[in-house]
Amino acid sequence: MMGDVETLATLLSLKVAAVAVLGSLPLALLVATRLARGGPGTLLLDALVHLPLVLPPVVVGYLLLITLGTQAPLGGWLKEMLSLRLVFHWTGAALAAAVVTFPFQVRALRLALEAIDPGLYRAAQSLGLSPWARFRRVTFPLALPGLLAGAITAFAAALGEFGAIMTFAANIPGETQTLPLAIYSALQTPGGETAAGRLVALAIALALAGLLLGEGAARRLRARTGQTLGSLR
Amino acid sequence: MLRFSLTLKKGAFALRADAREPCQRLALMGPSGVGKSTLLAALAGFERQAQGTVHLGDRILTGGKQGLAPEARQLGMVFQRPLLFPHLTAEDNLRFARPAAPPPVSFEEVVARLDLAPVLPRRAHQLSGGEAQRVALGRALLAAPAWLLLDEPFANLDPARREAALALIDEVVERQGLTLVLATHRLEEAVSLCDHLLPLIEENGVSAGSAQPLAQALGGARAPTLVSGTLQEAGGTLEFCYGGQTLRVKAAPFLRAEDRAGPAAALIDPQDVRALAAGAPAPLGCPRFEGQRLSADRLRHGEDVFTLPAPLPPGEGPVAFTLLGATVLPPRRRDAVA
Repeated sequence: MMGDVETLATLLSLKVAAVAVLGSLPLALLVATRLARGGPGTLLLDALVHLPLVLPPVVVGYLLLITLGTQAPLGGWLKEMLSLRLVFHWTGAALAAAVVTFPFQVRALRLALEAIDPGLYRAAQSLGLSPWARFRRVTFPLALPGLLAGAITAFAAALGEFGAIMTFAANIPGETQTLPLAIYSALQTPGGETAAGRLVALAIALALAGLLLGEGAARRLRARTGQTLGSLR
Repeated sequence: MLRFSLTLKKGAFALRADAREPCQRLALMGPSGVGKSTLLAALAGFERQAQGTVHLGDRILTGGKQGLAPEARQLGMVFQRPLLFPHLTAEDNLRFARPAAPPPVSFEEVVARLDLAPVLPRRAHQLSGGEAQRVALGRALLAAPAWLLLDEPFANLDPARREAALALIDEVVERQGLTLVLATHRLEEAVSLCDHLLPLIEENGVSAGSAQPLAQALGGARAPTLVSGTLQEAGGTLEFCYGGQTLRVKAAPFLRAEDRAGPAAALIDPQDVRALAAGAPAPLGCPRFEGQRLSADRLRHGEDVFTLPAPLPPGEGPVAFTLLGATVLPPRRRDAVA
């Protein structure tokens, strides 16, 4: 039987991870397209995108806090103009998770985009397709397996994000207390090992389900285009 | 009608090509790597560094302040590689372009003429080279193009399908008054489909060429010799004279059924003529010529290709020729070269 804490934390984790991944997807697509195309500044952009991967998540959370906290100019403006408060709010947890898992999405997308034969764009152009139509009818469907793989990896990673959420959005049950934070709290409570154990089992099950689902879908998509896992034709 | 004058510099590669008189059916010929595909890409607007002008009818595609983007040029393009969309079936590839105007041939006709019915449900990676090439050709025709830019479109096709594809293109170009630019290294294809020829030749690091009427272009020193004869009966033999020797060509394999009666002409490439020593395929007793003339070493088994030393030196003994190939022209195409 799942208790209130487990249900709340699980649902919240799923919500935070889903919003984090879906919300950052358009930007990831944009950045990956830019990186795949190359050109000046690619190296710097690439480094910036990967920064959250090498920084301690606590640092990411802290940086978010000093830029988007209610006391900070940008955070104050958001609260004032859009009544959007990120700190101590689940949207803040989603933002923190999005920043930390952003590199996973960009990486997978970039690989998928780079694997597309540039000749296909010429063929599409010769058939009268505008840049937007080329993106919609050629780039997007061919990058879909990569997009899916990246999104699933990012989703699984977002489910497990701890440091950035803890620092930026804090550990508020029912609001920002995702599974890892609930596990942490349970372990801090005397006699909370049983609860922690249940939460850990849940976390493992969720992560595994996500990875299997994503890999299966990506395989199906790749098989359709004749791409094999090892070698992209 | 196409008229253009283009120059292009890309690293160490330089290209200069023009067609000053408007031509409707233009063949680009030249050795591999000379820049035929690059010229096609420049005509299509894919080469941003290309400078000059491209006029199609009264429209300016390149030149002036800025050129039209490739997608606005109403192309019907077949690239060196089929470039089919791998996430789509052959049928979806054929229907990929959604032109505003109806295409010059219907989907059903393309499928029937190019024998594509069996491959329609397959995806690109499940097609053979020839099948993919036919789908690519069909896709270009169904885009309702104003002109066709074809890069070796028959390279992977077997003879029967090559003939069918060639006839379809010929018909569409004729019926719709389309402009055709065909890059090929087969003279036979150029002569069958085109009335102008642009030979691209690399000299001093620059690939250059100008379009000329076909007959004029074929008049050069290394060009094939035009000979003609009359077919007495369907599948009969054409007789040609070359250097005092009589060459016999069995014309039937080169002709379509409806062209197998009446007068025919043929183009013979010197490289298709092989010499045999008199009466013997054996290397022994081969006549020995010096210099650029025939040399016995190159006549081993009577099979080696050589360039005809014309005229043959007198008194060097009889030499028999066999002809390995000839471009036999049906009556309808004789005017193009006569």
